[in-house]
Amino acid sequence: MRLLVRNGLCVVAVVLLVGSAAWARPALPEIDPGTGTAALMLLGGALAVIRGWRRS
Amino acid sequence: MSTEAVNRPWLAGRAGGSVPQRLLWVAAALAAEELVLSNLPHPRISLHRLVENGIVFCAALLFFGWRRLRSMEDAPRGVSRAALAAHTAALAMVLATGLWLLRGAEAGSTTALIVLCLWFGAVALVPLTLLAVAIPLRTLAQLPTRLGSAWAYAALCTLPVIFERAVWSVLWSSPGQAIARGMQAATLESARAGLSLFYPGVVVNRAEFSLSTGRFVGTIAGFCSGVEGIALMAVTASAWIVWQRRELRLGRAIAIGVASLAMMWTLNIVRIVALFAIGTAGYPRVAVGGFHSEAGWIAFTAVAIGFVVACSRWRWLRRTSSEHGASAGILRASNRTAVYLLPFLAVVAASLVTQAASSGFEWLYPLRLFAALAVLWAYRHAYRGVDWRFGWMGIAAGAAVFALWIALSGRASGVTAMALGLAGLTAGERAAWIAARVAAATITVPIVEELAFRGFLARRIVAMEFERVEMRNLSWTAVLLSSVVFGLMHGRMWLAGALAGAAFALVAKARNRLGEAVAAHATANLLLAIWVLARGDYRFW
Repeated sequence: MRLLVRNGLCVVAVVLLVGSAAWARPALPEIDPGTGTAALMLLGGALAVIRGWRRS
Repeated sequence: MSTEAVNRPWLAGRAGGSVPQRLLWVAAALAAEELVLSNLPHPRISLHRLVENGIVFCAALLFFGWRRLRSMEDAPRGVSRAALAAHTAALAMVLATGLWLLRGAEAGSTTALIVLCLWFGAVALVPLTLLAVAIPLRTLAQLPTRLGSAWAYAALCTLPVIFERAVWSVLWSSPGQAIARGMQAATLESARAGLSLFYPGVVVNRAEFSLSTGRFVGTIAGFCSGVEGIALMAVTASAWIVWQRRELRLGRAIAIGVASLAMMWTLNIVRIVALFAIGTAGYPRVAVGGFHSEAGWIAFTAVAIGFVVACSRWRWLRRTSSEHGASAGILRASNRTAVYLLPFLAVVAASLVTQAASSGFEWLYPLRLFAALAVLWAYRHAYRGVDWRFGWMGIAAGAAVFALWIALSGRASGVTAMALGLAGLTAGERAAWIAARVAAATITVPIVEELAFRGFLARRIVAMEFERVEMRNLSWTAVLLSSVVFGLMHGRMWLAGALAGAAFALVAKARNRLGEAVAAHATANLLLAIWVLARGDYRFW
């Protein structure tokens, strides 16, 4: 039962994930690609550092 | 794991491969083939919705079935030649029938119908035969039963997505734009209230969604109502929750995710108030040119990083107790990822700030230099193990990269904002700015970028314990992927950037030391700096 609830919440998260991406789609051309790339690299790098910290 | 195995992980790959690995390979190969086919002449039959929903379904299937697939026996080495021949034939059939349809066959004729059916059949055969190329038929036959309930979960994910997309598209794109209008109006009123705290005579025009402080007027456009930030945060939060589902208390994590969306909304109001304050203070070009976009990204990265740190550290959110590393401190040198990545991240963070405060000419650029120097100094003892030596090969490669960069850049067009900005400084300010720019280009940038892209990323692609991977054992995949990411950082010069990244990785691989890549990078940047200053061609800065 617990597994079912957990997987159900995961389904909700996946649906939110794709839904929000689809929702944002009309706004994406407004995003400046140069700044966007830098910010996403910053975020990706920060996530890597956080994961590295948890493994250290 | 032995050092040999860490340094040469492809030895394991040659002996076969796990089923999930092979499925990921199939996905990558399919994406590459789709890219090639879509750039060749093809009939305009839109399969976008089908393909996108198929991707959601397959990704969810892989996600929920990952553990079961990993428990399956590794697929044997090699590929099926018969399946490869069938796959090639299917691709050829897609091309041939597509070209025939393009020639403008008589619509509705029996021949056209048969060719159309053949085209659809061939399109369906492409992924199926590719699966058979990578995974033996006997293993493929076990997949439906092995995946079990993952099929149901994947269907549960896909069906609402199909429905949801239709709903969102109506809400967002219809003439009424219900959600967009509502958010726009709420943003306008919130910004007005925020501005009224500092400026007494704020004028609001609700019909045109504009605000005025008397000295600065601005319009809150639909896309200024925080949609991008909220959507990006929703994607980040839900992706992280799904990724960390086994460690998180899901209900609480989703609640914090929703709170992070509210935070994005609030910070967007703060951004608009600050933008008006900058404009009112007499810097309208900075407000509209730099701050407008950069401040949104700064808010998003700050909230996203805060969310992830909370999910990693906050016990209330976690099912499992915090890992032992949590007490060590995220910035300690024992976190080797931080040692390699933080100098680069500090420079990127500084660049967001310096660009937010500029309107074309980045007058605060020296901040990037000082950010890099500060972090490199803080970790100076942690770099003792890095081989900084270099020889002629790095310098020669740097000169070649410089030539390539110039060749791929095209002709100069007009006066750049940087040239105009420098012309507006006093002689002393100009000399100081140029000195900082050259020092950054030739000293800190090569070091921080090589630590991040070759020292960390390329080696991390090879193995989790990246520091144990010797530079000479970088795989071709690692060279390629790290170079592509490096190229993406260079905007319109992405191709030159990717080729430069590949050159830096290859010299490091050839000489088995990071110092060679740093030397190549520094040489290329030094020659570019000389070119810029000698010719006044500021495009390269």
